[in-house]
Amino acid sequence: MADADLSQAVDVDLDSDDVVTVETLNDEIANLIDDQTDLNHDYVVGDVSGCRDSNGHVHFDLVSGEASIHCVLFGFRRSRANIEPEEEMRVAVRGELSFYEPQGSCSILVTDVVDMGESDYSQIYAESKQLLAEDGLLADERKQSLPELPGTIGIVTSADSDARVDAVTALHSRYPDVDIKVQHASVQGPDALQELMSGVATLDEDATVDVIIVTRGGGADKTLRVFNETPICRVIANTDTPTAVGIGHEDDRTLADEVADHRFMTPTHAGEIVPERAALESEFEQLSTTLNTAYQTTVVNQLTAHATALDNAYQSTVTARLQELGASLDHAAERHIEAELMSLESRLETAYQTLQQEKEHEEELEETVEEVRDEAETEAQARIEATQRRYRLVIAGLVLLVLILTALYIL
Amino acid sequence: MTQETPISDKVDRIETIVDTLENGDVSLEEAEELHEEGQTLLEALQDDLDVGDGTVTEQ
Repeated sequence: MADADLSQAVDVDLDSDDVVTVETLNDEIANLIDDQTDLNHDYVVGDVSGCRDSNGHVHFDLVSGEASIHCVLFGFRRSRANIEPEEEMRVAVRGELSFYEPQGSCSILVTDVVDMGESDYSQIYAESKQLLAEDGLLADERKQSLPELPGTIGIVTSADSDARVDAVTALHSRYPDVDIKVQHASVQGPDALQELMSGVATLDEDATVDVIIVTRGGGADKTLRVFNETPICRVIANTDTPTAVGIGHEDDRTLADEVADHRFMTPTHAGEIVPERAALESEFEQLSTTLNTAYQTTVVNQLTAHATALDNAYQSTVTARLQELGASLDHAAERHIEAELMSLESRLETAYQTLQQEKEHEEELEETVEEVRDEAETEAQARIEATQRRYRLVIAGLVLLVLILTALYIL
Repeated sequence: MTQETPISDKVDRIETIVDTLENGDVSLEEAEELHEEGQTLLEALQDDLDVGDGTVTEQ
């Protein structure tokens, strides 16, 4: 088999004729697995970890102790399986072992899944959680409030991880001025627990750090288990500095999340620890505008009220004075009118008296005139009568004369 | 209030001042004093915003 690959060897003397490519090796492994019937077991028992749905297929790791193997339950087999695997479930899977040559990895192509109860780790997790709860470390009452605006944030994470980049970027995108101290710690592996505990403790002793963030990105559940260890949980819970923890993906929950003062979902969500500076500036600007408007309105209202009061006082004073003057005027007018009336009355009385006197005098005159007239009339009558008597005497004389003459004539 | 007073307390105090002014039950002198207090708090809030230099320190 090695000879087939000699033509592809480079011009470097490897001091061996047994040189193959990865492709050849994987091909050999695949053939070996296919030929090895001892590897075909009825069931393989283990704990489900990292269970996820992808394009209708269920992928998960079957874990036992420190060993694990990838499993896939294809979509067309899901309905025929006894159960669907779930996280932290102990299962027995039936299927065929398959070697995926492009990646050189073994998988079990699952045909059936049987529930075997809770996984070992589920029990360990439950016991750890119970211990923390008994010590009161999960109680909401003991959680500290995060500072409204931390000046310095300490981050415990892997220094060369995407989580570190995401967390710093998220924090500075919301608040560019905040200082960040990154305390490197392995987030998985044998050194992780000690380095995480040391990192949190170091930042807790730093008086300039206002809040401690513990974060890492997503990964297989097994790699996140260090964040369920009670020692790191106790360190996080007992810091004087407020803590915030964001481990894995949105649906990953760890005990470190539970004991922390604040939980955020992923490193990208670390930004929620700080406010948005632009939003704060906008809020303060709005407050300033509202304050100035309220003050100006108050001043205008007060001045208007004072002006109104002044006007009212002026009006009252003027009205009272005018009423006083009016009363005086009325009084004076009354007195004047009364005097005038009295004068007129006096004049009228005088005129009346005068008129009466004149009338009396006139009546006297009239009486005199009447008397005179009567005397004149009497006198005239007497004259007329005397005249009439003379005329009669004349006429009688004349008649007598006529008669005499007539008689004479006749005679 | 001092520079150490939390931002939310300062904001609450300014909002209380605004409410008091808007209720109108204050004299001109009181209004001026409240306005000056609010302006001082706003200046303090602006100072609060300058928390650091945005440095990232690897430890």
